[in-house]
Amino acid sequence: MTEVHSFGNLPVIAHSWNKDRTQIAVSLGKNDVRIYQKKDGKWRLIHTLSEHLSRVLAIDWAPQSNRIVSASADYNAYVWSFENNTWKQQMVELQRTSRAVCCAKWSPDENKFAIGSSDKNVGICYYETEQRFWAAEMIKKKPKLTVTCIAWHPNNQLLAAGSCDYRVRIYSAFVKTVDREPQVSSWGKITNTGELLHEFQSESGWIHDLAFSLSGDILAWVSHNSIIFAVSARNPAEITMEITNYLPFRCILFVSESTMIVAGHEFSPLIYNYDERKGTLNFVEKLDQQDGVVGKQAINRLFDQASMQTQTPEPVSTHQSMITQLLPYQTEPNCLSKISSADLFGQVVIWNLNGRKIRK
Amino acid sequence: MTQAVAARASAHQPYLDAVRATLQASFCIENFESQVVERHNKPEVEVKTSKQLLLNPVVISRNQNEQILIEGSINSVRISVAVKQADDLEKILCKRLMRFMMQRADDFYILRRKPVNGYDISFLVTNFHAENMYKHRLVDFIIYFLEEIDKEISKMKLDVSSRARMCADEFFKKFN
Repeated sequence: MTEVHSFGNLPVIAHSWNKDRTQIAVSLGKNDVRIYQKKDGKWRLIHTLSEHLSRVLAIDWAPQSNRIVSASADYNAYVWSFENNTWKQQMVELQRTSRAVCCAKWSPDENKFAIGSSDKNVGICYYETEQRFWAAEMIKKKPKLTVTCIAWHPNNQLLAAGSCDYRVRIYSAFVKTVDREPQVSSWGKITNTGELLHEFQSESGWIHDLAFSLSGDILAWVSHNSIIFAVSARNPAEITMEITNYLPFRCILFVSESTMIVAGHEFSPLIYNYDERKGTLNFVEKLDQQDGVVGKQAINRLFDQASMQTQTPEPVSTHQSMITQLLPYQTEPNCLSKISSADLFGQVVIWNLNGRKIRK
Repeated sequence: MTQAVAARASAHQPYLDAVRATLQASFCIENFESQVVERHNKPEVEVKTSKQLLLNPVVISRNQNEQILIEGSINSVRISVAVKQADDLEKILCKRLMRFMMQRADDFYILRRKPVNGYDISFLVTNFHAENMYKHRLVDFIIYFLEEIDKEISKMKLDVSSRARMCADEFFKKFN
């Protein structure tokens, strides 16, 4: 039911799938982006994109236009395009950014992408057709600390950014040269680039990840104090909070309009349901339901006796370390049917959501 | 995820359980690039560039002499241990043993070269350690260290005094 793919024992910092899910781009905590292709059930390294000078922190593969954006700790971002069987890079002109670029994501229409950086910048990058380079428009009202995560609204013109200063902000990401007309959005009037539309604050806890629901009317985020937050566009003043008993979550993903999956230092992804009318977030179930120890794990346990007596029982789960990223793998109308998750020990796991209690 | 641990009757079990629970929570660390210096990635608990990136330090103490200080941050945890020292001999033994280990800090991966002020030995766990070691094993290692260090020092103390007795015996044989 779940497929486990292993890419050695290096940490998978970021991963991204191509359109038909036959290739995967991963950052294994090194300076390069590696692209693997699946052949006869095995992953084969076909391309290594080495242009970055430091650890690659974010990868996003645009399915339609077949371009990859990679961001790294050497404060650069590159857009890679596939021509004549090679990946060619183009540098993004990130003015005023001289710290690590922590996150990068293509917009739903793939005509621009957003980046967030360690020197508190949020940038919206687009292709300057006349001058032929990737330009970046930086947001003026910056967060106060490192931007850890960004998420695009499905209408292509709104951007949410979470930061280490405990706040989530929604910006207008309308760029005149790319988007012709500002659209009407449920989160407020979109005007200029970088207009701050909303700011949500939690008392403490670094924001680790945030996500819009499939229609874009609900924004949810997770913070380091193990709290899941959700807010609806119909009533942005009221933030729903769910204080959980688990270790902090690292990533969040909406699988339908009201159901989300969170994962992180708790090794199993968890399903939560947001009830907008009641204003509650309810725990549904754990995605990883293993009762006993099976196969490889059981054998490892027999042979892997540490010299000291281990007192904590080994975790019985598919992931044995922090989950770094959740991505949609297969979509159906109005919901996702498969998702993939990556962890620090080189595993990428594909979870099947059929038969799970997901409200459509 | 505080995991159940097999009951072991011991006077300092509650102390170790508290340490274990705190460690499990504070080892939730992740990669974090420096906001101040370009292309640097430093443990925030050491460089302390921003107050908002640090967690409240926790002191768990069993008594005045035995305590542990756990300082957390976004990408690193510093654990400092004060070891029980009842008399001068134990003080010397403890100092020597810690010195011996800290001179070889590189071989211990998570050992800090110098202890934090007021403590005998410090560990520094960064996100890079969490990327290639099992978290539960790291927690176990520190608990194991806490359990064993007292035993080790009292054993050494016995060894020293028994050797002293032997020497004295041999010495006084000359006068018989």
